Amino acid sequence: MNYKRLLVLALASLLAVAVLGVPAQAQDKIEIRFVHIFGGQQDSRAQVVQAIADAFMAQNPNITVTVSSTSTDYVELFNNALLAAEQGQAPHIVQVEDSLIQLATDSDFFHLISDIATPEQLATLDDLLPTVRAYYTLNGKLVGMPWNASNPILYYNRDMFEAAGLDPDAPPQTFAEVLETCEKIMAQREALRITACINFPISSWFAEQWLAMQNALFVNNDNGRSARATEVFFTSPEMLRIAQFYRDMREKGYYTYTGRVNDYNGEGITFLSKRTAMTISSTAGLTLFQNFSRAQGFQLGTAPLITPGADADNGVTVGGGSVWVTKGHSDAETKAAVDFIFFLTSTENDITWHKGSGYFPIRQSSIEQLRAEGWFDQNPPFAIAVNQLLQSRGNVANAGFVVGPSAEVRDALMKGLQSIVDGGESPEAAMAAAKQAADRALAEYNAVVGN
Amino acid sequence: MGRDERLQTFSVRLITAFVALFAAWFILSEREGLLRLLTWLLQGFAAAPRSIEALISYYLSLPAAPLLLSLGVGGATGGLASYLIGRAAQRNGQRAPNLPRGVALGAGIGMLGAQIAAAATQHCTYRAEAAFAEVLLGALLTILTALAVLVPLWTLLLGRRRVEQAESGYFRNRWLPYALLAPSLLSLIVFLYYPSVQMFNLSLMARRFPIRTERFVCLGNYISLLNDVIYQNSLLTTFVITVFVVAGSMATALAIAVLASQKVRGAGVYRTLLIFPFALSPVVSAAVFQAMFREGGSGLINYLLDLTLGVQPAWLRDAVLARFVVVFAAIWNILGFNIIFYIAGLQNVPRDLQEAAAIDGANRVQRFFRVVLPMLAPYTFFLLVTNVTYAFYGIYGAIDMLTQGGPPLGAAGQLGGATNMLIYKLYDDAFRPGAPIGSAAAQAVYLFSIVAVLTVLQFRTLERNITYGG
Repeated sequence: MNYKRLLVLALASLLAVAVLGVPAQAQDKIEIRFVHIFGGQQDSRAQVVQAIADAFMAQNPNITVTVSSTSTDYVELFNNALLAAEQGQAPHIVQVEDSLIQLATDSDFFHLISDIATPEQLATLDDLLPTVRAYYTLNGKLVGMPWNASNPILYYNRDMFEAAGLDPDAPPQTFAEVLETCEKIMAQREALRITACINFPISSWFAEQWLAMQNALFVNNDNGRSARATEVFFTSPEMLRIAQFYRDMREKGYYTYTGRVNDYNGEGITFLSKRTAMTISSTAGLTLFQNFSRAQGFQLGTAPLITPGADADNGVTVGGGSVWVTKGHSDAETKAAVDFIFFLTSTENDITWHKGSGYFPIRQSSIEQLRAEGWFDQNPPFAIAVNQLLQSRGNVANAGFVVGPSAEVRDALMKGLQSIVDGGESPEAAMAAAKQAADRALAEYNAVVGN
Repeated sequence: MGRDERLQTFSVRLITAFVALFAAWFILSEREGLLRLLTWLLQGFAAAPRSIEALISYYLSLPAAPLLLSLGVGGATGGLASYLIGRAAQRNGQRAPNLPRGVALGAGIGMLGAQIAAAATQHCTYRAEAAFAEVLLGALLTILTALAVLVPLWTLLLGRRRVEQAESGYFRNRWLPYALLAPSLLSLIVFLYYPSVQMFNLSLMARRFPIRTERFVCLGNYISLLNDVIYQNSLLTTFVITVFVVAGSMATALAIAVLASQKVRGAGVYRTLLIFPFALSPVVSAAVFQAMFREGGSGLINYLLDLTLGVQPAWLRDAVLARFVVVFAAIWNILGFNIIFYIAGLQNVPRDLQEAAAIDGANRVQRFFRVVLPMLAPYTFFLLVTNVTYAFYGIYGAIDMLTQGGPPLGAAGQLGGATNMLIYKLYDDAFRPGAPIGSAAAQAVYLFSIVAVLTVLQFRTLERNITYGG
């Protein structure tokens, strides 16, 4: 039948057109892709990033920066990017969470910043806050470019403090003071209609902060920075002091959480729906907390993160994310990507980012300029986070820990804390078991990766 | 040409034109992806000679002992199994080939079949340094692959004679059926068979995603899972939760379906409303449950309980209650699916049978249990198989939203988690940074084997007792 042949011919020629007719890409136009986690529906931070990218494109007309968010979760974003990289489709710039830096370095999918930046660009790194720089430095090299940095602070309900006869201008500063404050607040439990005094996620991040404050290490070999870590220090007296805090709060019924670990959103809802008087969360959520507390009709108080005790004065570590350049692109594209991340973290854009997101500035020059503007006087809660970090003594303890299987190590610690809070385990037993699981993960990882 | 014939030709042309248009649109809009698929397939074909070369050089360098051992195990399996099957066939008076020849053929094919597993594992389970458990597991694997290759042979030799061509429909053009099958086969190869093979290879490696270095560990991942108390407890938890989910969802669905089948005003509306939970994705329905059971005071249920009774059970933090919540959420999600089938089944129960039973003096309860329920057996069986599969594979979304596998059992969860089902543990292990993906792949193989064995068991034991009407 003729018409059948005609059909086959037509389809075949279409296929040929499709295969051969893919338009040739313009050579002089450089296109780079940047993926980040701020893709939530009402996440205004994505617009801040887009505005910075637009400014970059205006300065460099031959470069197109496509900003997108493939996931709102750091881990998923990282996995997506690396799976794409295995197929040769890697985005040029990937936002990487703090704890993933060892894995990102080991994966060999990324250029290290110190290896690819120009001397002029490298010179600007001296301007980075020392603690921030230390966190992202491995073996003397800046591995990823710090970008969105945050740390935890204490949020509290000033109205409840007043109702319980406490001074809302003197929030608790230490574990012991939290217990004292909670005793008074829980005495008013019926009147305040609260379920517990304080809630915060069961998260490894806070324990890491409290260890750093006590100038204690999380893992051996200088927090994994002088050599690969082989052992976690979960049974150290400093860690047991933290575990005991969870134990004390459980025994007295002061503490609650949503039943899921690391549930920052859920814990925020508990606090903002006035079911507790205090919570601990990241500074990155400051704007959200301010808006919602206004909507809920209560006065929000903010204070520095509580410390294990007056003696724990070593300061906090940096959390948040950094931006990394992936391998496997043309030189022109790689250069454009590096230029973009230095533009993204320049003093001017650092300030824009801080004001638009709540993440704190990472450059000394940004802080000076913000101070000169009087920004911190108008926005005292932002000053808390920045001061907290500036007071940090730069040493190995608050440089933060680096290990390859950080997800498993953190998971082990969280399960340990969870079994203290829910299972009634003793801090010693729980931390010993957590250490065992974490050490096994380290050994398995090191066996695969080698040294 | 008659009118009908012309109409038929016209509709055939119309359909062909639509298919052609769709194909053209698809090819044009997906050209880049298709091009990559094509290159990938071509590369696969191009690599074939090299793979064969590598296989030959592998066998040339293989020491004699492991090769002979694997040939022996495969040959013995094939020979013995063929002998038993052949004897049974002869006793039943079936048309069977010459027994000694069949055994020899079976042994030969068993040897070859055994090499599939043996070569994939690099004969590591037949080497002197293999652990005892590895040797056992390796022999089991060899026997299974030998049998898998032999089954088609027996079907050919002992199966019924082919249906006469004229009786069934057939294609005039001998290539047309293959062309029509090609898209399905291609997607099966690309998305199912090839990944399965890759996953099995991965399960023999110690690898951490995304690090590219990997180390061959033979069946080490499988062995350490067997010895892992967390994995053992996860298996136990899976069975417990599965039993409750399957029993609960099927019993509830049957009860609701019976009620919804009553002739009442607006029955259609009720049925639609009853079925809709199935339309929600597991994660969405789990999010609803999370909002209800969340602790810390912001969960709906505890808020109401606190207001009325003054109690706040630890729904997600108590091992028993957490299991209950997960089971509840899983049942709610699959309920609509079961109800659809039971309503359809109830409509197919013949009225006259029930009337006959009623005339014989059976009351409503007796009619339900003696007439309706047995008539529903095919539906029940189908739902049992799908619900077991659902319970094994489909609940990880709910667990991730509600408990993340917790609450931990023992200090720091050293005994596992109360709701850490196999599928969640697999998901958790496979999709985290630095994931031990070799072990996760081994877990996937185990999970698949368990579900496969369960399904076969159900078909073997239950389906025999079911009559499909007629």
